Amino acid sequence: MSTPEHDDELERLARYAAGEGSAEERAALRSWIEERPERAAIIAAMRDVARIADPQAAGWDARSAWSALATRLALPSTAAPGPAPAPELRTRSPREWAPKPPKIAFFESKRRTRWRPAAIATAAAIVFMSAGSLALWRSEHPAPSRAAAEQPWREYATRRGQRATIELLDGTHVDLGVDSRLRVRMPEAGTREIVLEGEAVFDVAHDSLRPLTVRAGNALMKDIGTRFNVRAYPGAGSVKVAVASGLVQLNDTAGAPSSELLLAAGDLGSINESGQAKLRHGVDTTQFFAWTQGRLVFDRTPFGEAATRLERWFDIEMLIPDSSIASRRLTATIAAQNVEEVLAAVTLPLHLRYERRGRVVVVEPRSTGDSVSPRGVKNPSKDERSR
Amino acid sequence: MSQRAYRSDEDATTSIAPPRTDEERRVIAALRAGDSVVFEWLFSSHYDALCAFVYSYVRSRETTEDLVQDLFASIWENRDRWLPGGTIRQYLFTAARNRALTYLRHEVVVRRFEDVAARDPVLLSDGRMTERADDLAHFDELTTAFEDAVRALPAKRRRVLLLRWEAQLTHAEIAHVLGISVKGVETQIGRAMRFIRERLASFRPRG
Repeated sequence: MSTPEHDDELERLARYAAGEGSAEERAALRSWIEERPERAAIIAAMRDVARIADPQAAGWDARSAWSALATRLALPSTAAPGPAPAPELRTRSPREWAPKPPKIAFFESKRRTRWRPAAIATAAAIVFMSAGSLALWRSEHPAPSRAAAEQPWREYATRRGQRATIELLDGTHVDLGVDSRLRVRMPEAGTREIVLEGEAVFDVAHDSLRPLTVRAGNALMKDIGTRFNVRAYPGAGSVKVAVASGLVQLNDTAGAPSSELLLAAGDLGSINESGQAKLRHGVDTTQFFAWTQGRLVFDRTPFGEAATRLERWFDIEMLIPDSSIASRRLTATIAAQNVEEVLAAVTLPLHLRYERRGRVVVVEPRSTGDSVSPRGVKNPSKDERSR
Repeated sequence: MSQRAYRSDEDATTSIAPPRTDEERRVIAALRAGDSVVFEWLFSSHYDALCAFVYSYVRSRETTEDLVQDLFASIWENRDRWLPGGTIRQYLFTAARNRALTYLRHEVVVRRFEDVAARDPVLLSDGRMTERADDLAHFDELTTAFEDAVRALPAKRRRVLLLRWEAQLTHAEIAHVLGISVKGVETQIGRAMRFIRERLASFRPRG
């Protein structure tokens, strides 16, 4: 067993901890770190130097500090703490849309329990607000559009660990998931356009004169008055669309007729990167909608994928040194409010344990030495079991 | 806000200005326009690291919380004129340090602080510190060795690591915050790394 005594090894860990490098370099560095549990543990410790030196230097309560400051400066209280309330499922008549300003409300997942980690350079996207509490600004790089109307794009974005509910001008209700961006253009006449990166549930106010399209990656959806979820995180390999009610027409952006699908309630459509469309009927789509009510549902989800969701949901970093863990399947429904409870709920049934230090969570098999062999060789029996 | 404290924040704005990102520009514009939501974001995303940093000077949680609150209050109260010269986090950490030093100068706690600082490595490696190890499962002894090495570092050097690893500031930002040269920052980090490396090299896991 070697230790980071190697010049290079400690140097590389330090570089990762300091947030250096491009996304690709960091991804490469990260898989290198995940090869060995001790590397992951050192990273966690590096992000925690203040506390290591003196426990009194950590554990600040930013939420109450903010309340105190907001009171002192007589600021309006904006972000709603705690879980999102169940969204109201209203049916709207087509003509109901009044030209009122969009409404937006934010929800933060509670990452912190006893102490709060530093999260300085971690905000993936910042939410910008114009006057009032609207999170919109004019996008400088609007998506290409066929209808070259001079209508401005409005943009909404959430950070990791943050969700939002948005009432659009036309009465369409959007639950915007964590770490997601939405661009919206709603001309008075003609097509209403939405471009999504990330995840969102749309509850569309139908208007036959102004059809609504949602573009996400290479997927193009046309709504016919409906409630549906789109999951389109970059790098996920495919765009998934689940329908709760109504009808959605799904195409790839290239518009190949062969790829066109008509999705109804209980259908799950997906389009992969090469534009191939797949349709599954009678799917339990709860897992695609539960998050709007603060619940995370996993249904035979590979642990690696579940970990990615948790990273976005809580704005944490999950390091999984034993790669055989990533393929284990997780089935669980969790009220996802408290990071410690959720981590316990996802690791216990898979015989894993975790150690959390601030933003960094290291996941390992429950008993040490049980499958982490010295040179990081995977235990093949684990892989077998998970299939 | 006292006149003095505010002036010390302003020092934080005069600096070599790295190219500002779009994101930073928009945050500054929104804040100047009085957007309290952006202000809250700024506060909550920097609060913990700023507190840890200020605490490393004043060594009192209560004082730390007051100083960081005062800093943000002053930003808000002067938001229409707010224009950090460098990056936002560079501004925040520099202003926080200025406030901590001003506090130490004015509260006649300088001597006490120095005493604590001088005793620091000893103080921080006594039994009080190892207690917390019990409530956190350790992955292996290497982590413990790493932590011991961090604790044995001089407080100043540890502060640089805090800024680098926890707050993820660049070398140039750290140099500005601490009022030393970039070269000085690199030297500090280099020495800290060498020290840790030596400690880990002498550590051999069982077997």
